[in-house]
Amino acid sequence: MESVMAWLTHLNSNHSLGYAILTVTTMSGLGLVVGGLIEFIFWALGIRYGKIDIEP
Amino acid sequence: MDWMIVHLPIAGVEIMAWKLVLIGLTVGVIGGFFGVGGAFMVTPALNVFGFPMAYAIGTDMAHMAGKSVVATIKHRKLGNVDMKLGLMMVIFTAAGIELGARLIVWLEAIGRCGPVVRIVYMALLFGLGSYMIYEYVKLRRRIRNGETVDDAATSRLAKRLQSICLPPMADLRVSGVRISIWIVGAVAFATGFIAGFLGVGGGFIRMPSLIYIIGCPTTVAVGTDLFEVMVSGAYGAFTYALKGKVEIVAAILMLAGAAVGAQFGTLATKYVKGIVIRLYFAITMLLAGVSVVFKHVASVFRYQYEDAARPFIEAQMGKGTLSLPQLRDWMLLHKTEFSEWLAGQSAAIQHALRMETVWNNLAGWLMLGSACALSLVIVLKMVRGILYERRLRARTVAADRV
Repeated sequence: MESVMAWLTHLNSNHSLGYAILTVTTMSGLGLVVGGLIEFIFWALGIRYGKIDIEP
Repeated sequence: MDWMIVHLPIAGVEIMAWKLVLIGLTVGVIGGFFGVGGAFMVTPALNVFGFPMAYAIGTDMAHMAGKSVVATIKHRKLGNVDMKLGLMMVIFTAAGIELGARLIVWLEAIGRCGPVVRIVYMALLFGLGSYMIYEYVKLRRRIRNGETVDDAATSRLAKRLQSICLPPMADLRVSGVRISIWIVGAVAFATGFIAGFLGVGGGFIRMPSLIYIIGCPTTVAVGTDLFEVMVSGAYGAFTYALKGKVEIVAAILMLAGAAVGAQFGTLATKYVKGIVIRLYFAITMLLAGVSVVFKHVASVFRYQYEDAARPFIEAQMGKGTLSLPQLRDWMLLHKTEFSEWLAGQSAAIQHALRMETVWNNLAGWLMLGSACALSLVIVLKMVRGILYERRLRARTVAADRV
């Protein structure tokens, strides 16, 4: 973990464009992966997307 | 509990990991439910936990880029994203942001940036929040009198604008609206301008504009706004990272919470009526307005010690008159020297610094507390909705058998 932190700090200080690309791709990619995973869990739990007009 | 502490070398902060996950979770719920990025809540919360302001904004932008992807995909499945409207708006919004940002640069140059931005921010939050509550009360009264209230195009302004036939016209099927592209462009440009001027994503102004000016149904306004937040979040994350102001590890931890929260918030829109979403949104805006008032009080104390520190800092840097951002940068980067200088100052100066911290913390805790409470209410609504739907389904199955 420490070596990853050191690499990130180095990238941030010395290769700002690389750091910017890494930030955007990591965040969007993680968003897709985590979103997909939770989507699967919701599907497994039987929570559907059909709209119902209620206010419980 | 030491293992939970993460050291973030880029921002120079040490923090318990659960705090970042909690911020992400609560703002994810709120963002998914209201279709906003939630910068007005995250930035002060991160600031309270020790992040310097620039890193707080940059890290927030980065987590927003990921969170809005999750929420937009889910809203699209629910049929809440008007892609045509969203794509049209992106172009005009970008132009508006650019102009707003240029105005900020000019205000900064003449030293009037801080107070002007805060006053406009307060006026917008209190004005829009109060109007939405007024609208909610009016609609509730009509519902109680037995009238059928359509969630879409309830505002007279939206209906009037839709009747203007100024080609080219856009047929927005998802929103159920036919409107001139010029009107869409003007709304997007104006909201982008305000966003650029205030230095925020602008979801809090875009979402009500989509409802009250364009005439979108509330859930479509939420989904389409999130689509825009996704684009602006990615752009913001890129530019802030380019300047080295993103703490990526903190953003990842926040995203872990936000990705889950955004699912909950989005799903909750399925079970809550549009006008109730508007009511919650209005309450959030009013609370954010109070937090900006606290920030404004804090800035009054800040000016007191900044004025006193100016000759010392200018002497240390060996330069002539420094601008306010230069002065603040020095204080941020030379905390030890500044503390030493402060120790030799009068009680009034030390008191000003203490009071600034107190008011800033109050603003941050107010936003964090409201975010936690609000997301809890939204999650409870979602759980009740799921249970209600299950009961309905079970009843239908039982009736079919009979």
